[in-house]
Amino acid sequence: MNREDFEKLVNREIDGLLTPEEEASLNDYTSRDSAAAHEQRSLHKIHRAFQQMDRHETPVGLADRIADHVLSEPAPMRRFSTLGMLNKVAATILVITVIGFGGWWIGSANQVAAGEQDEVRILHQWQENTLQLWQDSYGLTKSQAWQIVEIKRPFLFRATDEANKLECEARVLTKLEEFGLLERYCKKTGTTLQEAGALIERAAKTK
Amino acid sequence: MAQTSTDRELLRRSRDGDQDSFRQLVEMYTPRVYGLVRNLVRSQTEAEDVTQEVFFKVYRKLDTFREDSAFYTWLYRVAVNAATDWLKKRRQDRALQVGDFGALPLADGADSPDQGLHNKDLRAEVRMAMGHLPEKFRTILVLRELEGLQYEEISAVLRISKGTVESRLFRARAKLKIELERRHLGA
Repeated sequence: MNREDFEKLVNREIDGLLTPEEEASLNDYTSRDSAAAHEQRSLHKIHRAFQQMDRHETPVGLADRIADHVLSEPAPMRRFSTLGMLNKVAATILVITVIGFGGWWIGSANQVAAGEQDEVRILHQWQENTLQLWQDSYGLTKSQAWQIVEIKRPFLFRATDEANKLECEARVLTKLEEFGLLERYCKKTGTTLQEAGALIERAAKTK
Repeated sequence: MAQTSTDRELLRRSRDGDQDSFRQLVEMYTPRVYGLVRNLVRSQTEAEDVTQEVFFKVYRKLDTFREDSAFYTWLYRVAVNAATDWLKKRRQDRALQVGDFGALPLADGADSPDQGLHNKDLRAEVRMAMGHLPEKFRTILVLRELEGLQYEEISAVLRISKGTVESRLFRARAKLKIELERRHLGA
C-alpha cells in the first residue's frame, strides 16, 4: 500500500465505507507504520469533534418572516399560467384516446361501453378538479369557475396545439376581465397586464 | 433523506399558486437551510439573509424544478450557491476571521470534566480552523460532517462526480488537519 492508498482508506474508514478486505489492509499498514497510525487517530479525532457539534438553532420566527417576505412578492412569471392544467388535460386526452382505441380494436360492444363510461368518469373528474382549482386558487365563485370550465372543455381534445392553447388562454382571460378578476389573476400568476391585454385583443379579433 | 410524497404534493400545489403549500415548504425546510448556510457564512444575520434569498430563488424557480432529483438536493444546491455568491460579493472568502466560526454550538457529552474541556478545545479549534480553509473545502466538510450527506447526495448537490467528492473530501480533511497542526494543537 502506498501513501495515497492509505489516505484513501482512512477517509473511507471515517465515512464507514471500508470493506473487510480494505480494513484488513489498513490495519496491516498502520501496525507497521506508527506515523500512519498516529495520523489515522488524528483524523478520527477531528471527525469525532465534528460529530459532537450541535446544529444551529434556527432563530425564532425566521420561517414565518421568510414566508411572509417571499409570498408578498408578485408570483413568479409563468409562461402560460394554465400550462399545468393543460398538461393534465393532455394526459386526460391520452387516457381517453387509449381507452377509446382499445375499445375499437377489440370490437366488443361491452368494452366500448365500458370505455365510454371511463371517458365520462374522466371528463367528470376533470370538471370537478378544474372547478375546485379555480375556486381555490383564484377566488372565483362556483358559478364563475363553471363558466371557465365551459370555456376550456371544447379545447380538451385540441390542447396539444399551441395555437389552441393560446386561444383557450385568451378566452379565459376575457372571461376573467368580465368578472373583474383579471388583475388579481395576473398578480397571482405573474402574467403582466400587457400580455393579458394582448391575448384578450387577439380573442376579440377571432370571435 | 428522500423525496417524500408530502414534498411532491406541496411542490405541485405551490406551482399551482397555492401560497399555503409554499409556506409549509418554507416552514419544513428553513431549519435545514439555515443550519447549512450558517456554517458557510459569517454571522447569524447574514445566514438569515441568505436563507431568505434561498427561498426567494426557489419560489421564482418552482417551474424549473424537475422531479428527477429530490427536492432537498435541489434546495441544498440553491443554498450552497447562494452562500457562495454571498461570500464572493462580500469578499469574505479570504477575510474570514478566526472568531467568525466561534458561534458554532457545542454539545456537552463528555464523560469527565477534563475530557469535556479537551473535547471543547478541539471542537473550538476545528471550527476556527474551518474558517481558514478555501471555500470549496469548507463546503464539502460542512455537507459531509455537519449535514451528514452521503457521497451520492453531495455529488448531486455540488454537481461533481462521486470520485471528485471522495478526493475533495480527502484533501479537505488533510488541509484541516494541517491547519490544526499549524495552530500548534497537534490534533
